[in-house]
This record gives sequence, C-alpha cells and structure tokens, in this order.
Amino acid sequence: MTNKNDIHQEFLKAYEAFSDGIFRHIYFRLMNRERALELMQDTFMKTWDYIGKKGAKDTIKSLLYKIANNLLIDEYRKKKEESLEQLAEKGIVPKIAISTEKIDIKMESEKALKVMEKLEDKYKEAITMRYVNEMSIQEMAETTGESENNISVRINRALKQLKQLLNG
Amino acid sequence: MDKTKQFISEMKKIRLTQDEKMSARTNIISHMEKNPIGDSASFLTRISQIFMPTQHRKAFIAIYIIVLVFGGSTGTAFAAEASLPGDLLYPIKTNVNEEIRSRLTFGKQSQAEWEAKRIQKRLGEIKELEQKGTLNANQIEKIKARIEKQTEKAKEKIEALKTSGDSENAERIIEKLETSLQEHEKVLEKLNDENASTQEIKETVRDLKVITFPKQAAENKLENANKKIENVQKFIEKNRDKMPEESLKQAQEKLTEVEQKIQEGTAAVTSKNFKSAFESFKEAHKMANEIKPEIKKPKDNQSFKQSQDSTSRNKFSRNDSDHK
Repeated sequence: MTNKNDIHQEFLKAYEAFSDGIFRHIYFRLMNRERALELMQDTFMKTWDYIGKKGAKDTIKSLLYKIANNLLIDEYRKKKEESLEQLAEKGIVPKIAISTEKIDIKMESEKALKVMEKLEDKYKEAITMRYVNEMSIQEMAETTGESENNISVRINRALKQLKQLLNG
Repeated sequence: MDKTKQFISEMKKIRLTQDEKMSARTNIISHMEKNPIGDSASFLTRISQIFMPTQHRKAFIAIYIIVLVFGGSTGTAFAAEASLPGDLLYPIKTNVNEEIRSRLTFGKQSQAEWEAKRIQKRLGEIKELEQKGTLNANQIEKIKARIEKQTEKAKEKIEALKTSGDSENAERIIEKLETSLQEHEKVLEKLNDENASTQEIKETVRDLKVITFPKQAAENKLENANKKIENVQKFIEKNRDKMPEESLKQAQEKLTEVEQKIQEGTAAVTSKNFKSAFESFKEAHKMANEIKPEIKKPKDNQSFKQSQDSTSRNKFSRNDSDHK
C-alpha cells in the first residue's frame, strides 16, 4: 500500500543504500571531504525536490547519480570562476593533498587515493561507478546517457590507465 | 594480491563516518519535511493539465499567473479554500486544491473519507450561499453537477474500501454523509419549492448508500415506508367519520397499492435483490406520502350534520399538517 509516509520511508532507504556511493563518487572528483559531504547532502535534497516536481521516471539510483553529476559540473564552473589568485587574496590556501584531510587514512589508502587523483576525470568516474560502487554497465549507461558500448570501452581504458599508474 | 583489486578495496573503505551519515540524514529529513512532495508550482500545473476541463483552462492559466505574480501559491490556495461558487477562486478550490488533496491521499479509507468530505463541502456551500442570500439557479446547477461527479468518485472509493473487506468503515463514511445530508435537508427542502435540482442533489447523495449498501438502504426505506403507512392508517381510522365516502375509498385503494409495493419489495429482499427492493420501498414511501385524504374543511362544518367540537377539529388539523 502506498502511503505518504511510505514515500518518506522509501527515500530514506535509498539514502541508507546509496549515500556512501554518492559521497565517494563526488569525493574522488573533488578530493575534498567536507565539500563532498555537502554536495552529497545537496544531491539527496535536489533529488527529493525533483521527484516532487516531475515524479520519478528513472530508478532513484540513476536519478541520484545524474543529479550528483550536475552538481559536480556546477562545482567545476564555480572553481573556474574563482581563480587561484582570488583564493590567495582571501587568505585561503587551496587544498592540494590528502594530507590536509582531517580523517586518518592509512598508508595504503593514502597511496591509493593519490593514484585515484592522477586518473583522468572520466576514468575516475568509470572506475568509481563500476568497481567501487559496483554498478552494472547498464546502470552506468542509464545514468550518463551514453551507450553501453561506450561505457565498456571507457572502463577498459580506465583499467589500463589505472594499472599503469599502480605499476609506475 | 592483485594491485588493482587492492586499489579497489582501499577505495571502498572510503565512506561516510557514522556521524557524517547521521547529520546529513537529519538535514535531508528536515528538507523533506519543509518541501513535501506535491507542494510545488510545477506540480500544480501538471495537476491542472490533468483535471482542468478545457474550457476552464484559459481561466486557470490567468489565475495561475496572478498566483505567481502576487506571491506564492499557498496564499491563493488558502484564499481559495473560503471561496464559493461564482467566486473567481472557486475553480482553484475545487479543481486544484481538492484534486491535489485527492491525489495526495493514500490508503483506501482516507481516500473514501476525503471524497465523502468533498460532497459535504458542496452541501455546506449551498447553505452558505443561501444564508448570504446570493444563491441562484445557475449556482445550484453547478453545485449539482459537481456533487454528481464527486458522488461517482466517492462511490468508487467507498466500494473499493468495501471490497477490501472493511465494510465497517465504508458504512461509517456513508452514515456520516447521510447525517450531513440531514443537516442540510432544511435548506434543500426550502429551496426545493423554487428549484427541482435540490431534490435531485438529495437523491444523488442518497443513492450513494443504495449503491454501496443496498441491503441497509432497503431496510431503512422499508422502515420509513411502514411508519408512513401506519400514520396514514391511524389517520384514516381516527377521521373515518369526517371523511367523504369517496375520499375514504380512494385512500384505502391507494393504501392497498402501497402495500402491494411493499410486498414486491419484500419479495425482492427474499431473492436478495436489494436494489430493486429499495426502489419498491421508495415507491411505496412516496405513494404513502401522497395519500392526503380529503376531509371536511373547518369552514364546511356547518353544511355537515355530524357534530364536531373544536377539540376534535384541532386534533384533526394537527394530524393533517403531519401529512404534508
């Protein structure tokens, strides 16, 4: 039976299931934990608003990733606008490395994150979605709006680059 | 261990801490509560497309623009709540506010309750308009059309509730609606003299019970019809002397017809055809109502030899008025 509370329940279930994945998805791109946390939260709020306005045609999972990607695009745009000089003027030193993160990350993780940082953005996304967040190729295609074929090719290339970085 | 696999497993360790997860969750929940699904302008538009009859759509768009310009749909929606037929905002109330609520009401029982409530609202509107003294035939027609439409919907929902096995609540909803109808009966009755539509409104709402609970409706009707017959019989018994022979005969013939109708109805009950039983009882009730035996009018007194004291005449006229 559908009930207004059920919609709330369903949405919170989706939060439990996908919040870590969405967080990672954003985090690996921005490499800024605090900002990633904010954007993860925004992603869920925006998704809720979207469902309210347009209803949910997609699965909630792919809707979440789509909205997260849109927020990432906005974020990149903002970053471009605020040049590094401006940041320096404001007295904010841009965060470069994982060492500035508050969370203790063990050596191995730290190394791995550094490798992740070096990956090209589109490969980062491919690796994160396919292997870290364990999405199917079909789901990835649905989310990114690209063909399954394209996705498969990209995953292959991403793996190749990853292996090079890990061995290099 | 494969470096790639190791890399992936390291990456999987990156996740939200318990605190982070909880605090974001709290924020999201409060966002959800502040922005309930459905409470947005575009949802309104969507709803309006679904529910607005084409001829009203233009009017709606105009109103909608006014809504946008004068700040917020909620204000208008609230203002519309108090509107009456003929008001500018009335279509917003019935076609938007109420439809949205219908849409957002889940659960068979609440849906049935809400649809019944809408009929009650329409009845209340008639009363309000009547009290304001602005009620006209056109408005009655409009309300009648809405009541008919909404009765259909209510019937659907109540039947769904009944089929789901909860006939207890279905009956309760119908009863509530009947009480509401009784409350408004006076107004409807008063208007009935000028406009036959009010009678139809009454019938429409009444029929809801017949359709959903034919058995109870038939039983009720039978009871009412019997009461009426009893009254008529008593009246005839008491006033036998004062009635012209022809009139007495007529009344008795009619009474026999009524009793036949009752028998027809009872037969239908035995064959479990409650709907037609209801119809028969209804017919019987109506016929019994129509029996108005002719009796000596007070001014005719002198021309009759029978003595008649004032007390019996008073009694008589009291009885007479009971039968009107």
